Amino acid sequence: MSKLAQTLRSLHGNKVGAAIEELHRSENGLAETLLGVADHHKVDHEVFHVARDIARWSQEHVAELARVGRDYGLELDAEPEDEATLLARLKQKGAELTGRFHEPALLLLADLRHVHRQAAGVSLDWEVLAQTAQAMGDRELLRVAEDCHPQTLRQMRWANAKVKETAAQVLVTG
Amino acid sequence: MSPTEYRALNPGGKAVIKAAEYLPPHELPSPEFPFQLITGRTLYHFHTRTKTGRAPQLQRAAPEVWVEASAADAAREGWSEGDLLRVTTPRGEVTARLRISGIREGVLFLPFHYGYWDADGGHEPDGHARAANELTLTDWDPASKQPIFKTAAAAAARVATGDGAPSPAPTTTGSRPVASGVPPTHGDRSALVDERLPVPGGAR
Repeated sequence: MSKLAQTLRSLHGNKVGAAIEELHRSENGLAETLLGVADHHKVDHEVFHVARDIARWSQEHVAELARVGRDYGLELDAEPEDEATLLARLKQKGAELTGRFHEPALLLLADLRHVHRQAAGVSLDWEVLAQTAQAMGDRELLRVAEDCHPQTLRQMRWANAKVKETAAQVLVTG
Repeated sequence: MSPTEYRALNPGGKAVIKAAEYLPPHELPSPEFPFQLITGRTLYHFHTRTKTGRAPQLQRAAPEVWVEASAADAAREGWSEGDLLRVTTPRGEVTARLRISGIREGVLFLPFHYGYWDADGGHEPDGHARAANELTLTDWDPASKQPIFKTAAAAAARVATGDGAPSPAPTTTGSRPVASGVPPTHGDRSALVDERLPVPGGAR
């Protein structure tokens, strides 16, 4: 690393560290949401399997962020939150939601909107981190952002595509 | 993909081939279900045999469901050609006679052609479960919607020995036995036809 980058990192390290920490938290949150969606819609086979597949991307991002966070003096957990604990917590919430929405199709629409909004937040945070990494010349951080961000965009696009597929069905004929 | 993104690829009427990343299978072998189960076809039948099953020569070539395993797995489990195995997945079971074929170690194969329309049950097993499609996951590729028939975890156990009678699997193509001594699949004279063409220039 160049001397300039080292200096920048010492000057801005805390702020960048805070951004990494925030993204680490929100990627864990997105993984939790996606696993929850899979759990709510177990009998919708495509939603179940795809939500779990793309939750894994967020879990991998959690590990990557923990790794690059070490350069900024952070000690983030590389392990994503334990699935059994998450699902136990989600079960209670899921039962409440099912009760509130009466029918699973409405809950699916609400769930997909939630995934899209949450993934959009994560996507913006990756944008912030990528721009920061580029300005500071931190190639490792930039590489991680460039690897992870496209997967976040795909998570958003999946939610959008599923909304497109189900919205009219739910609201017009549901 | 949006229409704008698609146009940006300058497709010009050509197909766009896109690479997909590797995703781990949704069901992997475990101590309880140690084999990978794949399902597939034989040369002699199409889908559930509603047509090919009525052609006597084709039906004789592959009359009944079978299961394929590798020679190494058969040796380890103490199975022989023609033994009756029960193949189980978390969703169901099939009972079939064993063909020891050149299949990869750790993998079992079941043909999916055999359902119940021509069995006594009509639409369900009548004491003999043989529909391989009951064993696979309800799962498909989210983009192409192609069903995933090649990644189920299965267990297999012998329920009876074959006592020397071979498996009903064809001895051609993928189900070719690795050992000799299995009577070969063959056609017969009933499948032959004569065709007589009119003499050129002759009366019709």
